[in-house]
Amino acid sequence: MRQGEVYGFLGPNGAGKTTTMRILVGLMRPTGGSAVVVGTAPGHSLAKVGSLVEAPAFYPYLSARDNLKALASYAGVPGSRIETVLTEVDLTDRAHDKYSSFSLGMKQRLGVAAALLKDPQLLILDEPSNGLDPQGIVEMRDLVRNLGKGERTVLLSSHQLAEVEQICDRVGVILRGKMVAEGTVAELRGQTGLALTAEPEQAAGEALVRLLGPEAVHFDDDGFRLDVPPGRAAEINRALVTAGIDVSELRPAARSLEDIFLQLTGDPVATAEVAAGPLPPATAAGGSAS
Amino acid sequence: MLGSLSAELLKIRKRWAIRILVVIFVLVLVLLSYVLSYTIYKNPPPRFGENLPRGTTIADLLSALYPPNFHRVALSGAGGLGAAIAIILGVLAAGSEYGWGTYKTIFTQKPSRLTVWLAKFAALVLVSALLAVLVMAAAAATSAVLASIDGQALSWPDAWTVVRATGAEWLILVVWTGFGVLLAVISQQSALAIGIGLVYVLVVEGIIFGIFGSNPTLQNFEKFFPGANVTALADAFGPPIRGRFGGRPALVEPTQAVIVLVAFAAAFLVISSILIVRRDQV
Repeated sequence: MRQGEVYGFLGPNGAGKTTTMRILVGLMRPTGGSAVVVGTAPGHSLAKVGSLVEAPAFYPYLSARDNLKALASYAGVPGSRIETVLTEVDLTDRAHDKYSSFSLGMKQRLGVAAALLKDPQLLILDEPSNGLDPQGIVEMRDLVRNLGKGERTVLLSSHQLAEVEQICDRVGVILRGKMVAEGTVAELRGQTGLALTAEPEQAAGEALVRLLGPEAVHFDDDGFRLDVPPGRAAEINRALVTAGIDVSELRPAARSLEDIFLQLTGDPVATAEVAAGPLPPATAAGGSAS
Repeated sequence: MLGSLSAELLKIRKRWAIRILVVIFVLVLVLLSYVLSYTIYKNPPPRFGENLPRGTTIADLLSALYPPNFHRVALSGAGGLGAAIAIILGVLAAGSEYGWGTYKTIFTQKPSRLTVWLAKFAALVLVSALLAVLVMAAAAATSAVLASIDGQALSWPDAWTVVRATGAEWLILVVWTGFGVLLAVISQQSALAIGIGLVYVLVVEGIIFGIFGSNPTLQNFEKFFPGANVTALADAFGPPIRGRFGGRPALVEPTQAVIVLVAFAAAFLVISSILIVRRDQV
Protein backbone atom coordinates (compact mmCIF):
# COMPACT_ATOMS: atom_id res chain seq x y z
CA MET A 1 0.00 0.00 0.00
CA ARG A 2 1.07 3.57 -0.61
CA GLN A 3 1.04 6.13 2.13
CA GLY A 4 -2.13 8.25 2.15
CA GLU A 5 -4.23 6.02 -0.06
CA VAL A 6 -7.48 4.25 0.67
CA TYR A 7 -6.94 0.67 -0.40
CA GLY A 8 -9.88 -1.63 -1.00
CA PHE A 9 -9.36 -5.25 -0.08
CA LEU A 10 -11.82 -7.53 -1.85
CA GLY A 11 -12.43 -11.22 -1.94
CA PRO A 12 -15.19 -13.78 -1.48
CA ASN A 13 -15.94 -15.29 1.92
CA GLY A 14 -13.07 -17.48 3.04
CA ALA A 15 -10.57 -15.90 0.66
CA GLY A 16 -8.31 -14.79 3.52
CA LYS A 17 -9.13 -11.11 3.99
CA THR A 18 -9.72 -11.24 7.74
CA THR A 19 -6.85 -13.66 8.25
CA THR A 20 -4.54 -11.25 6.41
CA MET A 21 -5.76 -8.39 8.59
CA ARG A 22 -5.27 -10.43 11.76
CA ILE A 23 -1.71 -11.12 10.67
CA LEU A 24 -1.09 -7.44 9.93
CA VAL A 25 -2.14 -6.40 13.46
CA GLY A 26 -0.24 -9.24 15.15
CA LEU A 27 -3.21 -11.30 16.29
CA MET A 28 -2.05 -14.27 14.23
CA ARG A 29 1.30 -15.51 13.03
CA PRO A 30 1.61 -16.31 9.34
CA THR A 31 2.38 -19.91 8.42
CA GLY A 32 4.63 -18.57 5.68
CA GLY A 33 5.76 -15.36 4.03
CA SER A 34 6.29 -12.03 5.66
CA ALA A 35 4.70 -8.63 5.97
CA VAL A 36 5.90 -5.13 6.79
CA VAL A 37 3.49 -2.81 8.60
CA VAL A 38 4.51 0.83 9.02
CA GLY A 39 8.12 -0.19 8.56
CA THR A 40 8.19 -3.03 11.08
CA ALA A 41 7.04 -6.60 11.52
CA PRO A 42 3.33 -7.07 12.24
CA GLY A 43 2.42 -6.31 15.84
CA HIS A 44 5.50 -4.16 16.44
CA SER A 45 4.04 -0.80 15.42
CA LEU A 46 0.68 -1.03 17.10
CA ALA A 47 0.94 2.56 18.35
CA LYS A 48 0.70 3.70 14.71
CA VAL A 49 -2.00 1.26 13.63
CA GLY A 50 -5.70 1.48 14.39
CA SER A 51 -7.84 -1.50 13.54
CA LEU A 52 -11.33 -2.89 13.51
CA VAL A 53 -10.91 -6.54 12.61
CA GLU A 54 -14.07 -8.56 12.08
CA ALA A 55 -16.88 -7.56 14.46
CA PRO A 56 -16.27 -4.83 17.05
CA ALA A 57 -15.56 -6.28 20.50
CA PHE A 58 -16.04 -4.26 23.68
CA TYR A 59 -17.04 -4.73 27.32
CA PRO A 60 -20.84 -4.92 27.42
CA TYR A 61 -21.14 -3.62 30.98
CA LEU A 62 -19.11 -0.48 30.27
CA SER A 63 -20.39 2.66 28.58
CA ALA A 64 -18.98 3.72 25.24
CA ARG A 65 -16.89 6.36 26.99
CA ASP A 66 -15.56 3.92 29.60
CA ASN A 67 -14.69 1.41 26.89
CA LEU A 68 -12.68 4.08 25.11
CA LYS A 69 -11.22 5.20 28.43
CA ALA A 70 -9.91 1.68 29.06
CA LEU A 71 -8.46 1.44 25.55
CA ALA A 72 -6.90 4.90 25.88
CA SER A 73 -5.22 3.75 29.09
CA TYR A 74 -3.79 0.68 27.37
CA ALA A 75 -2.54 2.75 24.46
CA GLY A 76 -1.23 5.63 26.56
CA VAL A 77 -3.44 8.06 24.70
CA PRO A 78 -4.55 11.30 26.43
CA GLY A 79 -8.16 11.31 27.59
CA SER A 80 -8.95 14.31 25.39
CA ARG A 81 -8.83 12.01 22.34
CA ILE A 82 -11.90 10.20 23.61
CA GLU A 83 -14.20 13.17 23.05
CA THR A 84 -12.58 13.85 19.69
CA VAL A 85 -13.23 10.38 18.32
CA LEU A 86 -16.71 10.20 19.85
CA THR A 87 -17.52 13.39 17.96
CA GLU A 88 -15.92 12.04 14.80
CA VAL A 89 -18.22 8.99 14.76
CA ASP A 90 -21.22 10.95 16.07
CA LEU A 91 -21.62 9.01 19.32
CA THR A 92 -21.23 11.82 21.83
CA ASP A 93 -24.92 11.78 22.76
CA ARG A 94 -24.83 8.06 23.56
CA ALA A 95 -21.40 7.98 25.18
CA HIS A 96 -22.86 7.28 28.64
CA ASP A 97 -24.94 4.33 27.45
CA LYS A 98 -23.76 0.81 27.99
CA TYR A 99 -22.25 -0.93 24.99
CA SER A 100 -24.72 -3.80 25.43
CA SER A 101 -27.57 -1.42 24.62
CA PHE A 102 -26.06 -0.29 21.32
CA SER A 103 -27.47 -1.12 17.91
CA LEU A 104 -25.20 -2.86 15.43
CA GLY A 105 -24.56 0.41 13.63
CA MET A 106 -23.53 2.14 16.86
CA LYS A 107 -21.27 -0.78 17.75
CA GLN A 108 -19.57 -0.47 14.37
CA ARG A 109 -19.12 3.27 14.87
CA LEU A 110 -17.65 2.70 18.32
CA GLY A 111 -15.30 0.19 16.70
CA VAL A 112 -14.16 2.87 14.28
CA ALA A 113 -13.80 5.34 17.15
CA ALA A 114 -11.58 2.88 19.01
CA ALA A 115 -9.48 2.40 15.90
CA LEU A 116 -9.06 6.17 15.65
CA LEU A 117 -8.07 6.71 19.30
CA LYS A 118 -4.35 6.58 18.54
CA ASP A 119 -4.75 8.91 15.54
CA PRO A 120 -3.06 6.14 13.57
CA GLN A 121 -0.98 6.39 10.43
CA LEU A 122 -2.56 3.19 9.17
CA LEU A 123 -6.22 2.40 9.69
CA ILE A 124 -7.34 -1.19 9.08
CA LEU A 125 -11.09 -1.61 8.76
CA ASP A 126 -12.57 -5.03 8.18
CA GLU A 127 -16.02 -4.71 6.65
CA PRO A 128 -17.11 -1.73 8.77
CA SER A 129 -20.48 -1.63 6.97
CA ASN A 130 -21.30 -5.23 7.81
CA GLY A 131 -24.85 -5.58 9.06
CA LEU A 132 -25.72 -1.92 8.68
CA ASP A 133 -28.98 -0.70 7.17
CA PRO A 134 -28.82 1.40 3.97
CA GLN A 135 -28.70 4.66 5.94
CA GLY A 136 -25.93 3.28 8.11
CA ILE A 137 -23.98 2.14 5.06
CA VAL A 138 -24.14 5.63 3.58
CA GLU A 139 -23.01 7.18 6.87
CA MET A 140 -20.16 4.70 7.24
CA ARG A 141 -19.10 5.33 3.64
CA ASP A 142 -18.96 9.07 4.29
CA LEU A 143 -17.06 8.47 7.51
CA VAL A 144 -14.44 6.25 5.89
CA ARG A 145 -14.12 8.65 2.97
CA ASN A 146 -13.35 11.47 5.42
CA LEU A 147 -10.91 9.31 7.36
CA GLY A 148 -9.00 8.62 4.18
CA LYS A 149 -8.35 12.27 3.46
CA GLY A 150 -4.88 13.58 4.20
CA GLU A 151 -1.84 11.48 5.03
CA ARG A 152 -3.61 8.61 6.75
CA THR A 153 -3.53 5.28 4.95
CA VAL A 154 -6.66 3.16 5.08
CA LEU A 155 -6.97 -0.54 4.35
CA LEU A 156 -10.66 -1.26 3.83
CA SER A 157 -12.10 -4.70 3.42
CA SER A 158 -15.69 -4.66 2.28
CA HIS A 159 -18.41 -6.59 0.56
CA GLN A 160 -20.04 -3.31 -0.43
CA LEU A 161 -18.53 -2.99 -3.88
CA ALA A 162 -20.24 0.32 -4.50
CA GLU A 163 -18.58 1.59 -1.34
CA VAL A 164 -15.17 0.40 -2.48
CA GLU A 165 -15.74 1.84 -5.94
CA GLN A 166 -16.55 5.25 -4.51
CA ILE A 167 -13.98 5.45 -1.75
CA CYS A 168 -10.89 3.52 -2.70
CA ASP A 169 -7.91 4.80 -4.66
CA ARG A 170 -6.74 1.30 -5.41
CA VAL A 171 -8.17 -2.16 -5.03
CA GLY A 172 -6.69 -5.59 -4.43
CA VAL A 173 -8.61 -8.80 -4.99
CA ILE A 174 -7.66 -11.87 -2.95
CA LEU A 175 -8.72 -15.41 -3.75
CA ARG A 176 -7.77 -18.49 -1.73
CA GLY A 177 -4.98 -16.56 -0.01
CA LYS A 178 -3.44 -15.18 -3.22
CA MET A 179 -3.74 -11.70 -4.63
CA VAL A 180 -5.22 -12.19 -8.10
CA ALA A 181 -5.57 -8.57 -9.20
CA GLU A 182 -4.54 -5.15 -8.06
CA GLY A 183 -4.92 -1.65 -9.44
CA THR A 184 -7.15 1.38 -9.56
CA VAL A 185 -10.83 0.79 -10.18
CA ALA A 186 -10.37 2.23 -13.70
CA GLU A 187 -7.51 -0.15 -14.36
CA LEU A 188 -9.54 -3.09 -13.14
CA ARG A 189 -12.38 -2.12 -15.41
CA GLY A 190 -10.01 -2.10 -18.35
CA GLN A 191 -10.95 -0.68 -21.78
CA THR A 192 -14.59 0.30 -21.94
CA GLY A 193 -16.91 0.01 -24.92
CA LEU A 194 -20.25 1.51 -25.84
CA ALA A 195 -23.82 0.52 -25.02
CA LEU A 196 -26.39 1.27 -27.70
CA THR A 197 -30.18 1.02 -28.01
CA ALA A 198 -31.62 1.65 -31.45
CA GLU A 199 -34.70 0.80 -33.56
CA PRO A 200 -35.26 -1.13 -35.70
CA GLU A 201 -32.78 -3.55 -34.21
CA GLN A 202 -32.31 -5.65 -37.35
CA ALA A 203 -31.32 -2.66 -39.47
CA ALA A 204 -29.21 -1.23 -36.69
CA GLY A 205 -27.31 -4.51 -36.34
CA GLU A 206 -26.58 -4.67 -40.05
CA ALA A 207 -25.39 -1.08 -40.13
CA LEU A 208 -23.15 -1.57 -37.12
CA VAL A 209 -21.56 -4.74 -38.55
CA ARG A 210 -20.85 -2.89 -41.78
CA LEU A 211 -19.31 0.01 -39.88
CA LEU A 212 -17.39 -1.77 -37.09
CA GLY A 213 -17.01 -5.37 -38.18
CA PRO A 214 -18.88 -8.41 -36.72
CA GLU A 215 -16.36 -9.04 -33.92
CA ALA A 216 -17.04 -5.64 -32.35
CA VAL A 217 -20.83 -5.93 -32.24
CA HIS A 218 -22.67 -7.93 -29.55
CA PHE A 219 -26.37 -8.05 -28.89
CA ASP A 220 -28.24 -9.15 -25.77
CA ASP A 221 -31.36 -8.31 -23.78
CA ASP A 222 -29.95 -4.92 -22.85
CA GLY A 223 -29.30 -3.92 -26.45
CA PHE A 224 -26.06 -3.62 -28.39
CA ARG A 225 -22.62 -3.70 -26.79
CA LEU A 226 -19.88 -2.33 -29.02
CA ASP A 227 -16.22 -3.16 -28.38
CA VAL A 228 -14.88 0.14 -29.63
CA PRO A 229 -13.30 3.14 -27.97
CA PRO A 230 -15.95 5.46 -26.46
CA GLY A 231 -14.50 8.26 -28.60
CA ARG A 232 -16.19 6.78 -31.67
CA ALA A 233 -19.68 7.44 -30.28
CA ALA A 234 -20.38 10.50 -32.45
CA GLU A 235 -19.30 8.71 -35.64
CA ILE A 236 -21.54 5.72 -34.88
CA ASN A 237 -24.50 7.93 -33.98
CA ARG A 238 -24.11 9.90 -37.24
CA ALA A 239 -23.90 6.72 -39.34
CA LEU A 240 -27.03 5.21 -37.79
CA VAL A 241 -29.10 8.37 -38.04
CA THR A 242 -28.04 8.79 -41.70
CA ALA A 243 -29.21 5.22 -42.31
CA GLY A 244 -32.66 6.15 -40.93
CA ILE A 245 -32.23 4.34 -37.60
CA ASP A 246 -33.51 5.87 -34.36
CA VAL A 247 -30.85 5.95 -31.66
CA SER A 248 -32.45 6.17 -28.19
CA GLU A 249 -29.35 5.52 -26.06
CA LEU A 250 -25.62 5.62 -26.66
CA ARG A 251 -23.26 5.68 -23.70
CA PRO A 252 -19.92 4.34 -22.42
CA ALA A 253 -20.38 0.78 -21.18
CA ALA A 254 -18.00 0.39 -18.28
CA ARG A 255 -17.93 -2.90 -16.42
CA SER A 256 -19.02 -2.50 -12.82
CA LEU A 257 -16.67 -3.52 -10.04
CA GLU A 258 -19.22 -6.19 -9.25
CA ASP A 259 -18.83 -7.67 -12.74
CA ILE A 260 -15.07 -7.64 -12.38
CA PHE A 261 -15.23 -9.13 -8.88
CA LEU A 262 -17.50 -11.95 -9.96
CA GLN A 263 -15.35 -12.62 -13.00
CA LEU A 264 -12.18 -12.69 -10.90
CA THR A 265 -13.53 -14.79 -8.09
CA GLY A 266 -15.84 -17.08 -10.00
CA ASP A 267 -13.89 -18.14 -13.07
CA PRO A 268 -10.26 -19.23 -12.71
CA VAL A 269 -9.60 -18.85 -16.44
CA ALA A 270 -10.99 -15.34 -16.54
CA THR A 271 -9.07 -14.58 -13.37
CA ALA A 272 -5.83 -15.51 -15.03
CA GLU A 273 -6.70 -13.48 -18.12
CA VAL A 274 -7.64 -10.39 -16.18
CA ALA A 275 -4.66 -10.65 -13.89
CA ALA A 276 -2.30 -10.94 -16.84
CA GLY A 277 -4.17 -8.46 -19.03
CA PRO A 278 -4.69 -4.77 -18.49
CA LEU A 279 -3.63 -4.87 -14.87
CA PRO A 280 -0.24 -4.51 -13.30
CA PRO A 281 1.19 -7.88 -12.18
CA ALA A 282 -0.61 -9.27 -9.15
CA THR A 283 1.12 -8.66 -5.84
CA ALA A 284 1.72 -11.63 -3.58
CA ALA A 285 -0.42 -11.81 -0.49
CA GLY A 286 1.54 -10.84 2.56
CA GLY A 287 3.22 -7.97 0.77
CA SER A 288 4.12 -4.80 2.54
CA ALA A 289 1.66 -2.25 3.84
CA SER A 290 2.72 1.29 4.49
CA MET B 1 2.40 -1.10 32.30
CA LEU B 2 0.72 1.49 34.55
CA GLY B 3 -1.71 2.42 31.77
CA SER B 4 -2.64 -1.23 31.28
CA LEU B 5 -3.01 -1.69 35.03
CA SER B 6 -5.26 1.35 35.18
CA ALA B 7 -7.40 -0.10 32.37
CA GLU B 8 -7.66 -3.49 34.08
CA LEU B 9 -8.64 -1.89 37.38
CA LEU B 10 -11.30 0.18 35.62
CA LYS B 11 -12.75 -2.97 34.06
CA ILE B 12 -12.82 -4.78 37.40
CA ARG B 13 -14.11 -1.81 39.38
CA LYS B 14 -17.08 -1.24 37.10
CA ARG B 15 -18.13 -4.86 36.84
CA TRP B 16 -21.17 -5.76 38.93
CA ALA B 17 -20.42 -9.47 38.84
CA ILE B 18 -17.18 -8.87 40.71
CA ARG B 19 -18.78 -6.49 43.20
CA ILE B 20 -21.44 -9.11 43.93
CA LEU B 21 -18.76 -11.78 44.33
CA VAL B 22 -16.98 -9.68 46.96
CA VAL B 23 -20.22 -9.05 48.84
CA ILE B 24 -21.10 -12.76 48.74
CA PHE B 25 -17.69 -13.68 50.16
CA VAL B 26 -18.01 -11.28 53.07
CA LEU B 27 -21.68 -12.08 53.74
CA VAL B 28 -21.19 -15.84 53.70
CA LEU B 29 -18.21 -15.54 56.02
CA VAL B 30 -20.21 -13.44 58.46
CA LEU B 31 -23.37 -15.52 58.23
CA LEU B 32 -21.85 -19.01 58.30
CA SER B 33 -18.75 -18.53 60.39
CA TYR B 34 -20.25 -16.13 62.89
CA VAL B 35 -24.03 -15.74 62.91
CA LEU B 36 -24.92 -19.40 62.33
CA SER B 37 -22.16 -20.71 64.62
CA TYR B 38 -23.05 -18.24 67.35
CA THR B 39 -26.73 -19.17 67.16
CA ILE B 40 -25.93 -22.88 67.43
CA TYR B 41 -23.45 -22.45 70.29
CA LYS B 42 -25.87 -20.28 72.20
CA ASN B 43 -28.75 -22.68 71.63
CA PRO B 44 -27.05 -26.04 71.13
CA PRO B 45 -29.21 -28.96 70.03
CA PRO B 46 -29.55 -31.87 72.46
CA ARG B 47 -26.32 -33.91 72.97
CA PHE B 48 -24.36 -31.37 70.88
CA GLY B 49 -21.64 -31.16 73.51
CA GLU B 50 -21.21 -34.93 73.56
CA ASN B 51 -20.20 -34.97 69.89
CA LEU B 52 -17.35 -32.54 70.35
CA PRO B 53 -13.75 -33.75 70.35
CA ARG B 54 -12.38 -34.66 73.74
CA GLY B 55 -11.35 -31.60 75.72
CA THR B 56 -13.37 -29.17 73.68
CA THR B 57 -16.34 -27.43 75.25
CA ILE B 58 -19.05 -25.25 73.81
CA ALA B 59 -17.46 -22.34 75.67
CA ASP B 60 -14.23 -22.98 73.74
CA LEU B 61 -16.12 -22.81 70.47
CA LEU B 62 -17.87 -19.64 71.53
CA SER B 63 -14.63 -17.98 72.57
CA ALA B 64 -13.23 -18.67 69.10
CA LEU B 65 -15.81 -16.21 67.78
CA TYR B 66 -14.52 -13.33 69.89
CA PRO B 67 -12.01 -10.70 68.72
CA PRO B 68 -8.77 -12.46 69.81
CA ASN B 69 -9.46 -15.14 67.17
CA PHE B 70 -11.06 -13.13 64.36
CA HIS B 71 -8.05 -13.58 62.08
CA ARG B 72 -8.21 -17.36 62.51
CA VAL B 73 -11.92 -17.43 61.69
CA ALA B 74 -11.28 -15.32 58.58
CA LEU B 75 -8.45 -17.62 57.50
CA SER B 76 -10.58 -20.71 58.09
CA GLY B 77 -12.76 -19.65 55.16
CA ALA B 78 -9.86 -19.21 52.77
CA GLY B 79 -9.60 -22.89 51.86
CA GLY B 80 -13.16 -23.72 50.86
CA LEU B 81 -15.36 -20.67 50.32
CA GLY B 82 -12.37 -18.43 49.63
CA ALA B 83 -11.02 -20.87 47.06
CA ALA B 84 -14.35 -21.01 45.23
CA ILE B 85 -14.80 -17.23 45.25
CA ALA B 86 -11.21 -16.58 44.16
CA ILE B 87 -11.38 -19.14 41.34
CA ILE B 88 -14.58 -17.51 40.05
CA LEU B 89 -12.90 -14.09 40.33
CA GLY B 90 -9.95 -15.28 38.22
CA VAL B 91 -12.20 -16.92 35.66
CA LEU B 92 -14.43 -13.85 35.38
CA ALA B 93 -11.45 -11.59 34.82
CA ALA B 94 -9.70 -13.78 32.25
CA GLY B 95 -12.40 -15.99 30.76
CA SER B 96 -15.08 -13.44 29.95
CA GLU B 97 -12.72 -11.72 27.53
CA TYR B 98 -12.85 -14.84 25.35
CA GLY B 99 -16.63 -14.72 25.25
CA TRP B 100 -16.70 -11.02 24.39
CA GLY B 101 -13.81 -11.31 21.94
CA THR B 102 -12.13 -8.39 23.68
CA TYR B 103 -8.62 -9.86 23.74
CA LYS B 104 -8.27 -8.91 20.08
CA THR B 105 -9.26 -5.36 21.00
CA ILE B 106 -6.80 -4.93 23.86
CA PHE B 107 -3.97 -6.85 22.18
CA THR B 108 -4.05 -4.46 19.22
CA GLN B 109 -3.44 -1.40 21.39
CA LYS B 110 0.08 -0.18 22.04
CA PRO B 111 1.53 -2.48 24.74
CA SER B 112 2.73 -6.03 24.16
CA ARG B 113 0.55 -8.98 25.08
CA LEU B 114 2.86 -9.81 27.97
CA THR B 115 2.54 -6.29 29.38
CA VAL B 116 -1.24 -6.44 29.17
CA TRP B 117 -1.25 -9.87 30.76
CA LEU B 118 1.04 -8.89 33.62
CA ALA B 119 -1.18 -5.86 34.22
CA LYS B 120 -4.25 -8.11 34.41
CA PHE B 121 -2.51 -10.37 36.91
CA ALA B 122 -1.29 -7.39 38.93
CA ALA B 123 -4.83 -6.00 39.05
CA LEU B 124 -6.13 -9.31 40.35
CA VAL B 125 -3.38 -9.39 42.98
CA LEU B 126 -4.53 -5.95 44.13
CA VAL B 127 -8.18 -7.03 44.18
CA SER B 128 -7.18 -10.09 46.21
CA ALA B 129 -5.45 -7.80 48.69
CA LEU B 130 -8.59 -5.71 48.98
CA LEU B 131 -10.64 -8.86 49.43
CA ALA B 132 -8.29 -10.08 52.19
CA VAL B 133 -8.55 -6.77 54.03
CA LEU B 134 -12.35 -6.73 53.67
CA VAL B 135 -12.67 -10.26 55.00
CA MET B 136 -10.43 -9.46 57.97
CA ALA B 137 -12.34 -6.24 58.66
CA ALA B 138 -15.71 -8.01 58.45
CA ALA B 139 -14.51 -10.77 60.77
CA ALA B 140 -13.12 -8.22 63.23
CA ALA B 141 -16.32 -6.16 63.22
CA THR B 142 -18.60 -9.18 63.63
CA SER B 143 -16.48 -10.66 66.40
CA ALA B 144 -16.58 -7.30 68.20
CA VAL B 145 -20.37 -7.21 67.95
CA LEU B 146 -20.69 -10.74 69.33
CA ALA B 147 -18.27 -9.98 72.17
CA SER B 148 -20.27 -6.87 73.02
CA ILE B 149 -23.53 -8.84 73.04
CA ASP B 150 -21.98 -11.34 75.47
CA GLY B 151 -20.39 -8.61 77.57
CA GLN B 152 -16.88 -9.80 76.79
CA ALA B 153 -13.89 -7.47 76.91
CA LEU B 154 -12.64 -6.33 73.49
CA SER B 155 -9.11 -7.70 73.34
CA TRP B 156 -7.45 -7.96 69.96
CA PRO B 157 -4.53 -9.91 68.56
CA ASP B 158 -1.40 -7.79 68.18
CA ALA B 159 -1.07 -5.72 65.01
CA TRP B 160 1.78 -7.80 63.57
CA THR B 161 -0.29 -10.96 63.85
CA VAL B 162 -3.17 -9.26 62.06
CA VAL B 163 -0.83 -8.04 59.32
CA ARG B 164 0.65 -11.52 58.86
CA ALA B 165 -2.78 -13.14 58.86
CA THR B 166 -4.01 -10.66 56.26
CA GLY B 167 -0.92 -11.40 54.19
CA ALA B 168 -1.59 -15.13 54.48
CA GLU B 169 -5.21 -14.63 53.41
CA TRP B 170 -3.96 -12.53 50.49
CA LEU B 171 -1.48 -15.18 49.36
CA ILE B 172 -4.13 -17.90 49.53
CA LEU B 173 -6.59 -15.81 47.51
CA VAL B 174 -3.89 -14.97 44.93
CA VAL B 175 -3.12 -18.67 44.44
CA TRP B 176 -6.74 -19.61 43.88
CA THR B 177 -7.37 -16.57 41.67
CA GLY B 178 -4.33 -17.53 39.59
CA PHE B 179 -5.71 -21.06 39.33
CA GLY B 180 -8.97 -19.63 37.98
CA VAL B 181 -7.08 -17.46 35.50
CA LEU B 182 -5.08 -20.43 34.24
CA LEU B 183 -8.19 -22.59 33.84
CA ALA B 184 -9.87 -19.79 31.88
CA VAL B 185 -6.87 -19.40 29.57
CA ILE B 186 -6.56 -23.13 28.98
CA SER B 187 -10.26 -23.63 28.26
CA GLN B 188 -10.63 -20.22 26.57
CA GLN B 189 -14.02 -19.75 28.21
CA SER B 190 -15.67 -19.14 31.57
CA ALA B 191 -18.24 -21.89 32.12
CA LEU B 192 -15.90 -24.84 31.73
CA ALA B 193 -13.19 -23.13 33.77
CA ILE B 194 -15.53 -22.46 36.69
CA GLY B 195 -16.83 -26.01 36.52
CA ILE B 196 -13.36 -27.56 36.56
CA GLY B 197 -12.19 -25.21 39.31
CA LEU B 198 -15.09 -25.94 41.62
CA VAL B 199 -14.92 -29.68 40.96
CA TYR B 200 -11.22 -29.58 41.83
CA VAL B 201 -11.82 -27.74 45.11
CA LEU B 202 -14.80 -29.86 46.11
CA VAL B 203 -13.76 -33.28 44.83
CA VAL B 204 -9.96 -33.38 44.88
CA GLU B 205 -9.23 -31.12 47.83
CA GLY B 206 -12.49 -31.67 49.70
CA ILE B 207 -13.50 -35.28 49.18
CA ILE B 208 -10.41 -37.24 48.10
CA PHE B 209 -7.92 -35.61 50.46
CA GLY B 210 -10.60 -35.01 53.08
CA ILE B 211 -11.78 -38.60 53.30
CA PHE B 212 -8.59 -40.47 52.43
CA GLY B 213 -6.24 -37.87 53.91
CA SER B 214 -5.13 -40.16 56.72
CA ASN B 215 -3.41 -42.48 54.23
CA PRO B 216 0.37 -41.84 54.54
CA THR B 217 1.04 -42.42 50.83
CA LEU B 218 -1.68 -40.00 49.84
CA GLN B 219 -0.38 -37.48 52.36
CA ASN B 220 3.00 -37.46 50.59
CA PHE B 221 1.22 -36.31 47.46
CA GLU B 222 -1.11 -33.97 49.27
CA LYS B 223 1.80 -32.01 50.70
CA PHE B 224 2.39 -30.56 47.24
CA PHE B 225 -1.20 -29.59 46.54
CA PRO B 226 -2.55 -26.12 47.30
CA GLY B 227 -5.15 -27.26 49.82
CA ALA B 228 -2.72 -28.84 52.28
CA ASN B 229 -0.47 -25.78 52.16
CA VAL B 230 -3.40 -23.41 52.61
CA THR B 231 -4.44 -25.38 55.70
CA ALA B 232 -0.88 -25.32 57.02
CA LEU B 233 -0.65 -21.58 56.53
CA ALA B 234 -3.98 -20.99 58.29
CA ASP B 235 -2.97 -23.24 61.18
CA ALA B 236 0.23 -21.25 61.63
CA PHE B 237 -1.85 -18.69 63.52
CA GLY B 238 -2.93 -21.15 66.18
CA PRO B 239 -3.78 -24.81 66.55
CA PRO B 240 -7.04 -25.80 64.95
CA ILE B 241 -9.93 -25.65 67.35
CA ARG B 242 -11.39 -29.13 67.01
CA GLY B 243 -14.97 -29.17 65.87
CA ARG B 244 -14.63 -25.58 64.77
CA PHE B 245 -11.89 -25.57 62.15
CA GLY B 246 -12.15 -29.15 60.94
CA GLY B 247 -9.34 -30.53 63.00
CA ARG B 248 -6.97 -32.10 60.44
CA PRO B 249 -3.41 -31.47 61.52
CA ALA B 250 -1.17 -29.50 59.15
CA LEU B 251 0.96 -31.70 56.89
CA VAL B 252 3.71 -29.17 56.29
CA GLU B 253 5.51 -26.38 58.10
CA PRO B 254 4.24 -22.81 57.55
CA THR B 255 7.46 -21.77 55.79
CA GLN B 256 7.15 -24.60 53.30
CA ALA B 257 3.48 -23.71 52.85
CA VAL B 258 4.41 -20.14 51.90
CA ILE B 259 7.08 -21.36 49.48
CA VAL B 260 4.77 -23.88 47.82
CA LEU B 261 1.92 -21.38 47.53
CA VAL B 262 4.19 -18.69 46.05
CA ALA B 263 5.50 -21.31 43.61
CA PHE B 264 1.94 -22.19 42.60
CA ALA B 265 1.06 -18.52 42.04
CA ALA B 266 4.22 -18.02 39.97
CA ALA B 267 3.56 -21.18 37.96
CA PHE B 268 -0.01 -20.12 37.19
CA LEU B 269 1.28 -16.73 36.03
CA VAL B 270 4.08 -18.15 33.88
CA ILE B 271 2.01 -20.86 32.20
CA SER B 272 -0.90 -18.55 31.45
CA SER B 273 1.51 -15.89 30.12
CA ILE B 274 3.13 -18.37 27.74
CA LEU B 275 -0.25 -19.48 26.43
CA ILE B 276 -1.49 -15.91 26.02
CA VAL B 277 1.65 -14.71 24.23
CA ARG B 278 2.08 -17.70 21.93
CA ARG B 279 -1.50 -18.44 20.93
CA ASP B 280 -3.17 -16.86 17.92
CA GLN B 281 -6.09 -14.67 18.93
CA VAL B 282 -8.99 -15.43 16.64
